[in-house]
Amino acid sequence: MRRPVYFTRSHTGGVAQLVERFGRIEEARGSIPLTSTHGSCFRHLFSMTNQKWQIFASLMVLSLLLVSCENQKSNQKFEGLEIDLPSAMPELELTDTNGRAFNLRADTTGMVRLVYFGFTECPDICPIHLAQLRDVLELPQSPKNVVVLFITVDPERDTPQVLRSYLDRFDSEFVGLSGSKVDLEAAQLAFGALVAAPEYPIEGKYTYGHDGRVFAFAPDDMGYTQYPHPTRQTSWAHDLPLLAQYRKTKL
Amino acid sequence: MRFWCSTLEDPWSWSFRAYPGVWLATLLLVVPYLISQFRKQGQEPGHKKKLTQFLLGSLAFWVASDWPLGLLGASYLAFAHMIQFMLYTLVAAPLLLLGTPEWMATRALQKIRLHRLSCTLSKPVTAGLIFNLMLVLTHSPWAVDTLRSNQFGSFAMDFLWLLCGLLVWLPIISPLPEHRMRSYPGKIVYLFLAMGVVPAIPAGFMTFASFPLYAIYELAPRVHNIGATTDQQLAGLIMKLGGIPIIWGSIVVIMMRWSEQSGKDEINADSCDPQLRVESDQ
Repeated sequence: MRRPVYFTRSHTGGVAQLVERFGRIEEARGSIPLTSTHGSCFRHLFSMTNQKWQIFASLMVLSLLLVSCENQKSNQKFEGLEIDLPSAMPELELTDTNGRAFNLRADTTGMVRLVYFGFTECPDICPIHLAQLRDVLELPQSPKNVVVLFITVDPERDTPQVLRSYLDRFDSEFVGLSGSKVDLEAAQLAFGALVAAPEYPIEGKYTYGHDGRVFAFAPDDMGYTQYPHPTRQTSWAHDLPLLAQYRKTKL
Repeated sequence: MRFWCSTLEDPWSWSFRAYPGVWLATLLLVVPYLISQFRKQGQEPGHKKKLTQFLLGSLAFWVASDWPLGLLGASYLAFAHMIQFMLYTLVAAPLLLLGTPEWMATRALQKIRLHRLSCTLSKPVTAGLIFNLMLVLTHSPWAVDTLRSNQFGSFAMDFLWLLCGLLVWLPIISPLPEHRMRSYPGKIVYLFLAMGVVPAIPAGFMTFASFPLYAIYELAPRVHNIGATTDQQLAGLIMKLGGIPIIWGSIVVIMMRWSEQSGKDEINADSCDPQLRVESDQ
């Protein structure tokens, strides 16, 4: 069977031919020993065919791209998911656990807002996120101007009392918010969250598939970053002081 | 169904989960022991005591590996993981060694052709170094997060703990005299250095760390609302203080035996002194 032509064509490139000649001359002079591995590697590298050169160049470009992406990542300010086009905090009004109207933007002016859509019967993500936030906010180095806004996606079961007692298990400062189904869907859409939908019941209890992200807004009302599940405490502890001061640095 | 306890994403519940691998491992420990004891012609003195010790050691192994402690330690709570470690290395391992008769240990080691290797590894410096290296490695965040996330890794970690637990106790309570240290003060120093000093370092890291070290316990669904940091601090305290009763209890026992031995030696020396013998005759 005949081998493809490009396998038989060696040393066709101009550089490769020069290197080949250079190698032979140097070998003849004795400056490169005939058995030298360095010499053979050197020659091997520069005696590649055009196609090999193309592959080599492509790999180099790819590596450079990867390195630049890595650098870009290391230049990120936040450890959360940074948003290319920061969005403004939606101007919405919901009901808090005391039954009072709560304006998400106006009632939290000058604070870092961590907005999360969940429900009290959530078996996994919600309690983990809330416990993580409780632990991080208890740290002495954590900024004081942080408010956690927990917006329920299950208004039927999450009555104000249920919501309050659930949040008190984590931190009595966490704000629980509810509203009509329509208002809550509108709120999820306004934040760019996936709208929660009921799932098949597990052990007789129905659950909701909902967005697992915590939407973070700096005191300048802009959302620069989001935190999916799982986010480690070290990431929160890194980002919260930055978010808290973000307005100052921007001004 | 899973073979061995490993990380789960489900919320913790007290509903029973079966781990056949754990039962199989416990049976592989107990059944050959009972068969060889049954086959042995003529009972040794202290046979019942040894049997009880071995069965208690196997019980500790089973409790540490199976649901609920095994699953809590592999998936949810760092302090449960630490209780497991303590049970394997400080309870199961010494009880299994104490319960093994000399003839059985000799036969077993000859069968698997590990007698010479066991003699090399049971040298106090080697055993102490291997145990502490294992302790530091298996408590590193990388090892815990990687190994606990799958059942084979989790099994390997538990197996390594038991194996190194057996190794570290060999110079003190091995059934074979060639493994045991002869000097009482040497035994005391060994116990203190090999099992009392190094564990305090990772324990200190866990107790005083500002953040949870292990991702699997930090991001696990919470059990009874125990926070990840509190859980880790508890784990550190267990590692630091949990071994004290066993290690210092063993040191006290060794000191008592040492003093008994010294008393016997003095009596023997006195009875050999001809002048004293003459005096006592008169």
